[in-house]
Amino acid sequence: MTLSTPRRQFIRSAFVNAGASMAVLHLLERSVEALPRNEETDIAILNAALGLEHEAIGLYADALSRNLVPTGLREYAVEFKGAHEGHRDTQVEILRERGATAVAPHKVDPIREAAAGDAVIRRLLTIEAAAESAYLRLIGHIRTNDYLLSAGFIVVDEARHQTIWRRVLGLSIY
Amino acid sequence: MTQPPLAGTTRREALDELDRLAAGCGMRLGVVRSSRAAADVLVSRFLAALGRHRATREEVRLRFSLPAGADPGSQPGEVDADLPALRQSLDDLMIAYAESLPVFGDSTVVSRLAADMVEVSRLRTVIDLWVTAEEA
Repeated sequence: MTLSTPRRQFIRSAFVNAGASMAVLHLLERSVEALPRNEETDIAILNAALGLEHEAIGLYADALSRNLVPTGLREYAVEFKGAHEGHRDTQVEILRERGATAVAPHKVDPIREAAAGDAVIRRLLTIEAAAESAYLRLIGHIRTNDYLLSAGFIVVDEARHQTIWRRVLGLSIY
Repeated sequence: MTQPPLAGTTRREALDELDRLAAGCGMRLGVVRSSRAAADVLVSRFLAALGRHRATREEVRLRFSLPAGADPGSQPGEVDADLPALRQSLDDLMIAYAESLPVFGDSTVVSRLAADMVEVSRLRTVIDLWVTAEEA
């Protein structure tokens, strides 16, 4: 599958920026259907997911610090940034317990828009949709119960964030 | 390392619990639909989603050669049209899905149940927004 749409290109770029392994990228792009269920795969998935959390935290931080989130929605953005920080911390801790190195935060491209509005919310929605989609694609390949349990709770958070932004933008939510 | 909450639970027990909680959500949705005409379209979609999820769980039972789940209509009890209670029921179902994932040990099953769990999260969020709007 080629990544032809802007959204897919953005998602690929986020994963590449975050240092995701080629194996995980291929799985996300569906050029391979499965990964071996072993420790190496778990670590690769953890770091790919962590990279996406870094991307989300960076985007929300940029939007909040530049007052790009419309009034009335700022509370959601603060909450969602906090949730992504929680997801980050959980996955860093799992990596630490396994003696693996967690990927460091990468430089996140700043949001292009200069004023608050729907375009900013669409950008935040894109990262939430990317996160949900990635976790759903990867979750079946997680080997260990502790990480699988954490990933389950993380992906329902991503779904909540995505649903709220879709509602804000007047998009179909169900 | 913390122990998964459903450690020691069998696949059958996990599926039975999901069936029980989903049936409770379905009952509550049915009452909401009958008491709030404006919610008919939305609730019908929600009930259809719960029906699809039940079909998924039945396929999972077949995959593991487990007996069929109980008829959701056979669940006893009465519920009211209270939206916060519906939100709590969906929350309980969503958490039970997340906690059950490690029980299955099968990547295909985990992926399918996770997709249904995400849909429950969406339903729960919609109800949450509805509750917030009514409280405002």
